[in-house]
Amino acid sequence: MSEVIVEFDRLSRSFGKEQALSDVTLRFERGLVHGLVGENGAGKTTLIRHILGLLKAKQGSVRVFQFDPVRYPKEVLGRIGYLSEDRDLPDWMTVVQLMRYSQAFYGGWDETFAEQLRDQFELDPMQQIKKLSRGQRARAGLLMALAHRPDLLILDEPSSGLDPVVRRDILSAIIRSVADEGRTVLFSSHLLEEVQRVADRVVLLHHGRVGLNGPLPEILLEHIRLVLRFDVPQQTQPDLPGVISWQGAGREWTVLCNGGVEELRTAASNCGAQIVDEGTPTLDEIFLARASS
Amino acid sequence: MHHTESSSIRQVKALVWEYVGRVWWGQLLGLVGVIGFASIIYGVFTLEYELSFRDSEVGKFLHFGFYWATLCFLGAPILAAWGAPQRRYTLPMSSFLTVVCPMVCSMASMFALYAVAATTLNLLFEAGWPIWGPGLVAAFLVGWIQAVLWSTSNSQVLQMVSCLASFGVVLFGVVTYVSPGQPATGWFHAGLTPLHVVVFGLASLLCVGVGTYGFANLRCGGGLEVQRIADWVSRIFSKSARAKPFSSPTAAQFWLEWTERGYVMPLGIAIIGSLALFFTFVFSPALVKHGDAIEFINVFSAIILTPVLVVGIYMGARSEDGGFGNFNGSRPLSDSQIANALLKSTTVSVLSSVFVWAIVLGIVSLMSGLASSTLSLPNAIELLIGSIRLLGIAALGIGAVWGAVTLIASLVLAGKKELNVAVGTVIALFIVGGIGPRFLLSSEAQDSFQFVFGWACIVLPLVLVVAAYVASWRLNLISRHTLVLAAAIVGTMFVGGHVCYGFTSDLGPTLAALWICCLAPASLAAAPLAVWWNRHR
Amino acid sequence: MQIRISNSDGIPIYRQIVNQVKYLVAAGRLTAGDQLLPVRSLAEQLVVNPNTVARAYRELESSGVITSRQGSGAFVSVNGSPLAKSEKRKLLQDRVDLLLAEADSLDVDVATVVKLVRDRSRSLKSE
Repeated sequence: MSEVIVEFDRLSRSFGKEQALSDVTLRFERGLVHGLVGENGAGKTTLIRHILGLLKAKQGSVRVFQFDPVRYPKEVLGRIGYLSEDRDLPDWMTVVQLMRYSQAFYGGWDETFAEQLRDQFELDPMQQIKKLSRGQRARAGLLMALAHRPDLLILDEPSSGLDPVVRRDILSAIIRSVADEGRTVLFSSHLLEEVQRVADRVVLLHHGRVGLNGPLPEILLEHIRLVLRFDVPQQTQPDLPGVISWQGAGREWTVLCNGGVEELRTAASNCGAQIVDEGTPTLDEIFLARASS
Repeated sequence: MHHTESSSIRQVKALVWEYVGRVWWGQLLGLVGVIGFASIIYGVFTLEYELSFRDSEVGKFLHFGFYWATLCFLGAPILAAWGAPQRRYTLPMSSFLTVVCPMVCSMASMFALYAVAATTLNLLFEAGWPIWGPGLVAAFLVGWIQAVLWSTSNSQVLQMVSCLASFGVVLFGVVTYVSPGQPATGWFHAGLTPLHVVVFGLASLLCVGVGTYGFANLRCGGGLEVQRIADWVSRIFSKSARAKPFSSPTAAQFWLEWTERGYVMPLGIAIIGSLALFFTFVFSPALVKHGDAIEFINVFSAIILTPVLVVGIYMGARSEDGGFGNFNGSRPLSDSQIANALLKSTTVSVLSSVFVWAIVLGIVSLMSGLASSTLSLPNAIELLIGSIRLLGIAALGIGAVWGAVTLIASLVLAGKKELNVAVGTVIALFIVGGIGPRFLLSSEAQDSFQFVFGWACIVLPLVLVVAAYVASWRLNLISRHTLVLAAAIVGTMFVGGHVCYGFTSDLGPTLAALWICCLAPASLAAAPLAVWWNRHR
Repeated sequence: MQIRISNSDGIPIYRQIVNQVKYLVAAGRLTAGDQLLPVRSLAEQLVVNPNTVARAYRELESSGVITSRQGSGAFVSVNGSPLAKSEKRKLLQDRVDLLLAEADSLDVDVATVVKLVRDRSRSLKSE
């Protein structure tokens, strides 16, 4: 059984009337890449902020490396590399100043590795952060997060607004982190294609609740996409068991279901429909189906 | 033709509507704060000393002191309301209209607010605040600063330097001409004369001209290339950054606080001081005679102290929305370490500012000593006692300023909502204490109310400080070292204050000094509490 | 070792890797004794999770397509395993199915298709 790096126990959090997280129980294990997906406002950033201690656990609990991040910020944050969604960095510093500043905080800072990354990311050391383009800024943030070889790498929407070259840099960095000495990565993303490439486990958040949580291959295999052909054109979606989403019109409908194909087949034939095509949906399709339900 | 006309009017209406929407709350708070604060002081003076303010020296002096506070509290929300001018570059409006409309709004609001404050105080206390002179000057100052800010919005460095330079020149003008005892004070206090109108009209035209030219220039990508020089200078400094790594995380955090904000205050004072001095010596060397020099210092210092609050706000602010920000919040430092880095940087800032200020004063004294022909040497003992007293004043004064700046920084550190609540509460208290009694209570009731209120004002802050220390201690945010440091601060300040007042048995001033001393180290507990509160929501 | 990962079919990535390695072996582009890229290198090349590549390699090993030697890496199995032959057959069968479906929709009969296959084979051989 792998070591548990982050543990949420019945965590709930509301901001005023809005319930951001409801009864979230999760464990993130060491050495895996955890993908966190969900629509805007589903609670991904709220969850991440709890890990960093930027939000107090008002209901339920959070433990990171077995510590409470609010009470032990130094111990917890010193082992985490964090790339925030808004790429918050001190604008007035130059790249080299930021590197020198960051080095002071992390015992594991590897100067050679940092230089290597800086060179690879093509960051001018004397350039001010505020003058960097969006992609360069993301790379700078990624450098600061990676250079101290953190036990836990947290990336909040790392690819948003970036060109394919920078996105590739980020994904490669994730892969290298995990390949080296099995560090843990948690990244939230809208680009499900990337999550599908790189994640070991996926957590889907929907309106603050955990919708899906499991190894990615299993999630993909559990869901099936079927095309049903009805004898008679249907005006509305017929009621069939286990179906998560419907799409189509008239006689042919595409459905997504969560296992239970045989029951569906029987029920479908009772409704006068045949299964004409079967396949595995992409993570994108599963996500959309779950999100709209 | 008709179509274009109405669209301009529509645009102007839209801008005005935006302005009112953004600024009314801040203006209201500022106005109430100024009136309330002044009411308390005037109220105390009226009841205790039964002075009349109209046309008296005391009245003029009080007005002059409050005038600067008024400018800051009312001017800040007005200037902040328009935001960055870059937002308006792509509006389908001429530069002239885009500049004039906001400027007219700002100047009109400033004048109106000042007039309302002055009229209210005149009605309540017969404070003798003149309306036209100071009102028009205030309006002009707001217009000028807005013009300067909008003309230099491409470079923060240039903005800062220009504003400070303007402030320095204004300071010179004020001290030379309109401070109490100076020749033009009469003009300040007179009613509306044709001279007022002409001068103000010309000054406004200057503001509009500078503002429009600067805005139009920046709009099409022009602007002084000062930023490149500033970058080049900062590159030279950051070359040394390659040198050696920081000795500890707290050293790194202190460097960040200092380089981001700490250096601004001493630098600002150096710039303002040198400019004001330069203009004074060049244009009014006669001012620097012995007696006048002392007055010069007094007036100058009083004006410099007013923005102390603003400095505190600047030091404490973490991000736009008042929250801690993702970068600052995720530093691997404990809450007290973050707070201490901020306190340390602010302390160095205050002390170095005082040092710069002392140099300015030293130059003035030296010049006045050289210029004065009839200078009699005091005997040695008097000189010695005088110097010790000066140090005593310094300990108490610097301690009080440091305490105020760091406390305000701590409040801002706690978050925007919390700051609003605190400011709102204080203003409410001002209203309750200053204005309320005049309207609601009879004279006898007013007396007893003032008594109770006065004591509450004395006791409550002490209680809050103690509570802050207790809370910080229980949350493990402060240690024994902190308590020792706090005691040292109180001790040094008190001894200094006692020395400055001489060894008399005057209980009143001694207790007042003790009160200030006990409040001064509040930020040592308040700052870590604020970080703990704001960082982990 | 050229492998392409596609995200749009909905086939798990490790399965795609397994299929493509089997195809490469069956097509002769990977011969017996060839060394496969180490897990980490292939993961970096494809920009996928190393665990996924490791899983693919495990499955290939358990079906006998590759063997891994401790410390040296993974190599294509020396004896063309019988499964490779059945893979070849299945591969071609899929293509034949496609061809037949296409012919059916174009209304071409099987005899014509067979004749076409023979003709093309002859002309390709003579090139």
